[in-house]
Amino acid sequence: MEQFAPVRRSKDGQPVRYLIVDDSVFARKNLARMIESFGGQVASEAGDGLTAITEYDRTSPDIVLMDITMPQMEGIEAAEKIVQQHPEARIVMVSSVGYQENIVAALQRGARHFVQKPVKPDVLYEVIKYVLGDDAAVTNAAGAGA
Amino acid sequence: MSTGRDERMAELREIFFESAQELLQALNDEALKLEKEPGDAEIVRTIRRIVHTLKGDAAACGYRELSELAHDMEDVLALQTASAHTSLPQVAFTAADVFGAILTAYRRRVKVPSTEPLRKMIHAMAEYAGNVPAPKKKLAGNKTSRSKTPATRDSAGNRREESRVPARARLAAWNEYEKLAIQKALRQGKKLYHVLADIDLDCGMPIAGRQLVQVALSAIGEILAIRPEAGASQAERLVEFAVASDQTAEQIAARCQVPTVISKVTVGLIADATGAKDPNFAIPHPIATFTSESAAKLEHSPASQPLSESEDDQQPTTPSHMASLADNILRVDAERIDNVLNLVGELIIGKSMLQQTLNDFAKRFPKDHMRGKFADAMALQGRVLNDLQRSVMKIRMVPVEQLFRRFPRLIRDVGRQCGKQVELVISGQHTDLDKSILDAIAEPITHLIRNAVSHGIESAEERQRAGKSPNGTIRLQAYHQANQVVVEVRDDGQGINAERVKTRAVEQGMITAEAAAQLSESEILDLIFQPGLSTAEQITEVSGRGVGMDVVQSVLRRLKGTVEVETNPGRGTAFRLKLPLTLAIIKALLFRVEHRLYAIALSSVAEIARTIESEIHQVDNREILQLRNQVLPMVRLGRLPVGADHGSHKIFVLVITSGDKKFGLIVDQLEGEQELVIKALDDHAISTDLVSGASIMGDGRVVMILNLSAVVEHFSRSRFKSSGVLGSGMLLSHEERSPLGPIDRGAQA
Repeated sequence: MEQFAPVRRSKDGQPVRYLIVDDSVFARKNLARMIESFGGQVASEAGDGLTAITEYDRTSPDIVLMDITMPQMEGIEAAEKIVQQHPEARIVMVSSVGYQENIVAALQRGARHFVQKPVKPDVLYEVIKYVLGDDAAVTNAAGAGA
Repeated sequence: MSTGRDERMAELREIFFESAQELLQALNDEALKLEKEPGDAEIVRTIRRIVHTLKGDAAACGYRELSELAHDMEDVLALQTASAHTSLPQVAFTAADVFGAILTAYRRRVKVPSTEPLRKMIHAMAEYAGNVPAPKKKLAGNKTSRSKTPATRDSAGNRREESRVPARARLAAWNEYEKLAIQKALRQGKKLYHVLADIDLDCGMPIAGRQLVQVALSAIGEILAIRPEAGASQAERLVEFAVASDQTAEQIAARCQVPTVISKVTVGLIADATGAKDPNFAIPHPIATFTSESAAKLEHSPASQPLSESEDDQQPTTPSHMASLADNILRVDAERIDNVLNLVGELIIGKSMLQQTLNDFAKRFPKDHMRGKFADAMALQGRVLNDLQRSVMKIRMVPVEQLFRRFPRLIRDVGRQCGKQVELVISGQHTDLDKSILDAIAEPITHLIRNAVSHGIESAEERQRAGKSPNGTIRLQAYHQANQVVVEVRDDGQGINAERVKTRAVEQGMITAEAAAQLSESEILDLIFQPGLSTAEQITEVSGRGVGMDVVQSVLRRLKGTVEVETNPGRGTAFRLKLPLTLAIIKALLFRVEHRLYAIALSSVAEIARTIESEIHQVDNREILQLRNQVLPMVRLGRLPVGADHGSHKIFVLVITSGDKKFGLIVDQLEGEQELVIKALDDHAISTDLVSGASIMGDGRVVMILNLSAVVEHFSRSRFKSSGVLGSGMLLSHEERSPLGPIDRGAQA
């Protein structure tokens, strides 16, 4: 089966670690699968913004995939809070077309990128590579750290 | 494509169905809340969020109809005026129903039912708000189909290119303020670039895309001007920037090359410190142009090929994909757990075999030092086995909330049909119960609640006349009691009129008038569970209860539970379903009747008494025993002893509580306590309902498990018929009974 060329962290050749934030279990599973097909690793999941913040603190992921509409605390606020605490945080907003203004707001508050729901794996893959920039490298299937 | 992929898709869809069901439940819940607090913005937001999630999930699974319908609904909910609309709760209810129907259709792979009613409602709301979402929907549809068709996408790059050619030369007219800023930057010796970025046609969010470029540019320089100006709402696909930066054009272009968002970037040097100072610059030469490389890559990326007919979100993943998911929830077929439970059951039988052998060993070699070691090992094994059993049971346990959550909507609907306002108060929803038991009681409880609303609770006028609040209340609660879980449905309605139940039962020939006269009130109430009394609408006239009550009874009996009624004329009725925690293993008391081995659940035994035959008296056609200060009716399972000295014959009486009844079982001999693994008996293996199952002992003997509620019922029925001989010899076979039956004694009474 086709597989994306694994993206690894440049510093140690380890898999990229992700925090998935979405109130839909289904959406989380779906993203988790994609991430694994990129050779990444799900560091943690959260179903709302508040949990996202504590999970970020706990797991320090390389990338956060953040939904916009969630109970307790919405994605924008959570993204903003995380970036305030961790300016290096790479947050990718994941949402549907109807929430464009929210995405703009999130980008203004420090989110690095966005992908549109329904998420296409190839799009997400490109976005991830872009967001990681020099901090990650595409390895060959043998998995040798670049 | 390959089966591996199909399988994953199927699995993903399964997850979708499950989570969608939760979403619909939540939608129902919120709609109920909104009905109570119309116009509450927070609730409307929550509803919108639920619909939004459903939309997203459905789209990811490729379920177009559902996602589009949800999309329309979401749009309407976003409208200020519409969200305050009084019919919104109704729309939400309808949506939950229609979405549910669509899901069912998807699941069964049948045609999706008509969504017209919901569409109409949505449309009406949108019109009310002066905003028809239909064209918007069209747009969304087009967009989806465009990005979905690979053919269009292949050519898209070229077409885009062409259509942009005239626009590319465009250079914005900067306003005075911007000119000032540009001049200032130039004076400071910065290089000034004109950046023209094309937003990818596949990017559904051009404004967000523009923001992204803006963020990227501000990281490497100073953005002096943007066209179209910020706040412009139209989805402009071409964005211009004037940027002052000390980086090269190539660097800037690379920076703006945001994958999936920007398809083409052109960076031109407008002027540098040595160049023209005229801020109304001439058209710059594009010195760095990048066309989206990623767009080209996407074409042959495998994932862009449509998966079945759907928007594909799946990517092939490693086989371990499930294992590394962070939320650690495992979905397992119930059958597998049952298998494990079965094996645990076998182990328990094995344990009692060992115990038995050990006992024999101890008898034979009372001084052997190995005895102690065996005993220790047995104790350890017993403990582990206990834990194992409990752990497996726990897997099967789910909170009753799963069931209770359905009822608010039910009460609302039935209440509407009957024109009654009924509130539901739920408590103890976190009580755990075996999943199969929970599934089994869904129907009975639905029944009880339906009855409570339609018959139990009076109309508002009647209630006010009786000095009650015009709104009825139904309390649904679950709690633990000893080794059982009790689920109680309590209403504050008119109660059951026992007299009328009795009259009706006599009229229907279920009991004789004489027998009826002897019945206690609780016995009369039990009549409502008789099938005969529960068929027709006369029940409604009689007592306001009873439709399908025999169903409730039979389900409970199958589960080895009981149901009790408590009624208070004018104040309400409570039904208590008492359920075992689990079906498979019980702690049992073993006893002998006529040399046969039987068992009953230890939890139903209140006390064990020893007495002699002459203490059992006959009163009013039944055997009773005076135990301390109470008089207990007796159920004789075996036959009466015969002979002159039968009065001094020693017997055991098991004092049983079943439901709200208390009585004594006369047995010959006690065998002790043991954990029994219940094996179901086929209907053809046994011809009586008095036995509900069987089990195997450690030494291979078979023990029958007595069905207490059937025994009680049998006992009461035999009294109604006033057939002379009380429950005696209940467990005797037909042949045993006829020649030796205690007829003399009965006739004596």
